[in-house]
Amino acid sequence: MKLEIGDIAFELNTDLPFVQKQWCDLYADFVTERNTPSQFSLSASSDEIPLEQSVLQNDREYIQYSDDGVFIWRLKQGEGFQCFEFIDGNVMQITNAGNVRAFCVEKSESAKYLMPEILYLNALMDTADVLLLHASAVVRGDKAYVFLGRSGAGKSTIAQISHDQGLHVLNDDRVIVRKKHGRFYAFGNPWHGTFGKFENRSYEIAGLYFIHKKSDHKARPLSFDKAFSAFAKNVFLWPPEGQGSSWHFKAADLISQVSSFRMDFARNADFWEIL
Amino acid sequence: MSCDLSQIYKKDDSLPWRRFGEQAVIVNKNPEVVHVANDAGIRVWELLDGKSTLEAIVCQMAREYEASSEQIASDVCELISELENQRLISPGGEA
Repeated sequence: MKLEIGDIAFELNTDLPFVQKQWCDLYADFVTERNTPSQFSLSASSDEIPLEQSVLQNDREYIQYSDDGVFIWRLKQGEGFQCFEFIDGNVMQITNAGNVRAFCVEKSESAKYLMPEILYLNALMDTADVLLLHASAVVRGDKAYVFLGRSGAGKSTIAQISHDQGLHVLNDDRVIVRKKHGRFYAFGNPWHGTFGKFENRSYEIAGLYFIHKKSDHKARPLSFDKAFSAFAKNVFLWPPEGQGSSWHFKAADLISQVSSFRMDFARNADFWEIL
Repeated sequence: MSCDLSQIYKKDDSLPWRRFGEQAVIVNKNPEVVHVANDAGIRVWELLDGKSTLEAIVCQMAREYEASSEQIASDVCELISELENQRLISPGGEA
């Protein structure tokens, strides 16, 4: 199965029927038949691949969110390949950074759901201008409005309210951001949240809105440093220690070019009037 | 804020930094912390070459920015204190 997400092509392969069905359901809108070269590939297999502890160097824990709640995984990076070791003992190994193959032996549904997303980001971490924001994105006019916030902040609520108003939702939980021809675009992707809406389209970003549930609607501009600080809390997979300058610069570039706001909102569609 | 303007400081040239319009970002390595500086702050950062005294830097800033030398000296001293605390610069230089 060849997919194209955020204008990046990659392949998913598996010999496990239940994984195949899940991927077909989740990624149907992103299957491509174009000849765009694949940036990486993922193979999910029942074969067990032992970890070679001796080559593991850095160790960093991330917290991810799954349908089951908080999901903790650990990234270990060695020379030439990366290993993912899940806290519950499930293991996945990725080899050959340039042409990534992965073998997953994990059992949990949430892990399978996240695998391609994790791979997508790590394979492209230092090779492409990709950021994955913990945000929802809604299209109004020909622009994408990006609403950032942690779990429970109201991303899906805003997406649902906006959808009810007839607006298109690019995604209600995660938004891929890339720079094209000097401008920043938000891309829909399949890694959705509780509202479950997404579209395989991209639009130039109108603004970044850091959302807070309140009793009324208010938006005020954020300075560069405040926006940068807030932004850092809403990006998935911040890079390992010592390898982050390119990501920091990507984030700073975005914030310097796209206006950022703190946005208070109540649970109704009137917030669109202040944007 | 005041400080010894005859001092010379040198920035850590190994730290990646980049301008974004009127702002700039400096990435510290250990621990990995991002420092955001405004236009004047990053100009001081550029001038911390291990050769110029703080007094020379204040004079240069006074030529480039519309503020009194006293105000610039105070701001430079405050910034130096912050950068030194963050271990982004070190006293002494090549002069």
